[in-house]
Amino acid sequence: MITETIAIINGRLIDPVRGTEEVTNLLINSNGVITGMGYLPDDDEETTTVIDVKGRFIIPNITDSHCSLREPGHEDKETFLSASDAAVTGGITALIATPDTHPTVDTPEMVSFIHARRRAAGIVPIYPMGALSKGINGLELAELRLMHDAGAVGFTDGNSLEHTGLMRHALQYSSDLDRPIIVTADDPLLSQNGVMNEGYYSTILGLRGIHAESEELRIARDIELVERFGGVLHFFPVSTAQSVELVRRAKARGLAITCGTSPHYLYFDESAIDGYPTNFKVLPPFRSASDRQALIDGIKDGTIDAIASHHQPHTIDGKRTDFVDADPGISGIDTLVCTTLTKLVRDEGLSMVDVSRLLSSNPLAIFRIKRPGIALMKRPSFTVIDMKTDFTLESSQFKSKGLNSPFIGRQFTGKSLMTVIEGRIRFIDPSLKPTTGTLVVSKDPTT
Amino acid sequence: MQISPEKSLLGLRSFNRDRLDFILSHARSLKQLYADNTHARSLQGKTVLNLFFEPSTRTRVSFETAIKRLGGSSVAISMETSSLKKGETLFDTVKNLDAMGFDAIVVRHRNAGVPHFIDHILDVPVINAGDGFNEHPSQGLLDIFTMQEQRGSVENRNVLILGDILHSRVARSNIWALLQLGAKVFVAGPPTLIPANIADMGVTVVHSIDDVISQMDFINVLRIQYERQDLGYFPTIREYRDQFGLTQERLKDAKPELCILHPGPINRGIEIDSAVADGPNNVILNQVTNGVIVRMAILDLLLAPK
Repeated sequence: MITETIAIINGRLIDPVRGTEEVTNLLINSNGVITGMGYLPDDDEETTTVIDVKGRFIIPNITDSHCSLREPGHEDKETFLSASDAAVTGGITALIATPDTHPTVDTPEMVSFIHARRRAAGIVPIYPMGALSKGINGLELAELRLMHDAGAVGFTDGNSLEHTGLMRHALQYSSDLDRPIIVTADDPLLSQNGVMNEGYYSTILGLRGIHAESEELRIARDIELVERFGGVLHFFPVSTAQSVELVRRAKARGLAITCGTSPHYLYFDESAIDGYPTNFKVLPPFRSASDRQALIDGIKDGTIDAIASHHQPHTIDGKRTDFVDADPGISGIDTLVCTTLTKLVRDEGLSMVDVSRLLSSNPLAIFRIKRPGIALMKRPSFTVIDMKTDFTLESSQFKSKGLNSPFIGRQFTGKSLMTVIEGRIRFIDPSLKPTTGTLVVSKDPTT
Repeated sequence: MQISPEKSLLGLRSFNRDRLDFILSHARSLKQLYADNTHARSLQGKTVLNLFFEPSTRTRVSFETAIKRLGGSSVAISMETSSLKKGETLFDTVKNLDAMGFDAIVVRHRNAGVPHFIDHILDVPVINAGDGFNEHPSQGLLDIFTMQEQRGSVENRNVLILGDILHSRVARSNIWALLQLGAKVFVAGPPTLIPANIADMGVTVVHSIDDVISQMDFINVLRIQYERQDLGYFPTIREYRDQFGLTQERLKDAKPELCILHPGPINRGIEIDSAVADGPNNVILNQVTNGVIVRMAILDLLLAPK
């Protein structure tokens, strides 16, 4: 018979909020509610499916806090359904979506539309950000308060507003909403039409450079605005040493400022552009080797709060051209978890607890999203992760429509073996066989 | 001797001294053959596509002439593109042309890396005739061919590359090859037009050319484009000419055997005065003549039956 009560036993349960790791067992009933923690089910409980995850980690609420999901408008690049598949397979239990769709998410009606679409089509919770200005035109503020009331968790135009006065108003106007404005910092008058970091490699490759200052000056400006006029700012992604230092000092001054970065900035520097590989074209660009190291240092000392994919899926045509004309961006939902864990835990020696914070509790706190933890009588969302086995990432493993990834062909650890969302198993790796009973993997978004 | 294992000529950065010597000496023997009225016919029955996405007269005609002299035929296409106009993709354009069955493609494009992309997607040899600010390898080779013709060798010679280094593919191809061949390379221009970290390539950056001009054996003068002024790289042409223009006055302490090169087209009275461009030290037309020879050598090495 098919059982609906599952026991996940011998897992190394990480609690990023309390900063603990303990080996335990979870009993989840047919309603997806945790009814037991710590004890083993009796052998005679025939209705229980037992999954032994000995040696594997259980991390709650892994959230990708910066994804361009393309729906509506560019369903050829991604849909809620394909992004959702990528998320659960990659070990992600919630997505925070940017408003850069067509049309843009710049009204409460569009925010409601995203919620409705996700309920109909997606199985992973999707939290929309609203645009900061109408149509992301940088000229007039969008209806931030109405969007907030409709469920927007933050506001972004991508870049911060060119018009310093309007940026001041955006921060002031939203300051009491306690929701972040997310800024991908760039001064376009400095970066011009640059396509890679300005330095030795842009010189020898003959490509227009983007100097680090184009990011840093904008971050410095926006920090000063927050200091004087209030507001909540989250810089994402930061790519330079000086950006990290500016945020470090802003935090020391007690400002409501956080920052995040993406896994690819921890792996690659500007030398990766040699040979003009278009899957390595990303904005902000890969910086110098010392910038890359400064990001890792910023993670270790807590200046960098979050790691998110900066998911920007493209069709094959967006990247199957020369470097200058190729679309910037990396498809990252599939690889966020394994690339982050491989770099930070395996290579840099951070603890699973510390890295879990970057992927889970910190992004949720930045966006003021409340999700149940792993506790009795809760419907939990969590991922079971294997840190012992290495695997080679193949494009065939991608569930996202975007295959534009610089990570394809590389070796990683940290494979997600099971993803549970609100008490339902949404993904389970074939290698994770139940000891007894038969598993039900829920595919229907209504269940 | 399999000195050129790669199927294409994308740039001189990957050339070591042996490869440079080989191709330059091949060009010298072709020049001798040509002077003796003996014609190599190694491109007989072959058709080369000259695919120019950016305007060019000199380079395109030079390649066409080289192809004809080797007995081949060529088809030339000028397709000026704008990134704002989204039409057929570069991939489709190139694949369609390739399907017509050319034996090689000579390509010029405003974007660095386009020849590399085309080389990646096609099986036929690709010759870079200038990609963005990256490289212009046949120009680099013809410049050095001309320098060697004038002075025997470039080893330990001082070469000044003067002008808009930032936006110059000629500068980069010259620098890579000259350094391999043992020359001392100096670059000079307004600080805004000197690219980041260029000293790491192994060149010396000078901002006042008057301090170094007397030591130079060669000066390669780059074309200055008016649009750079509009974008604020320097204030006026007048000021540029005053600080960096190659004038007769400036050459008063130069070595008598100094050779002055210019890849063309020349802006007379701006980066170089007519008295200098036409003067006894100029080898500008020798460059043009040698351009055909060097391109014959490139085509012969890439396309001749092995």
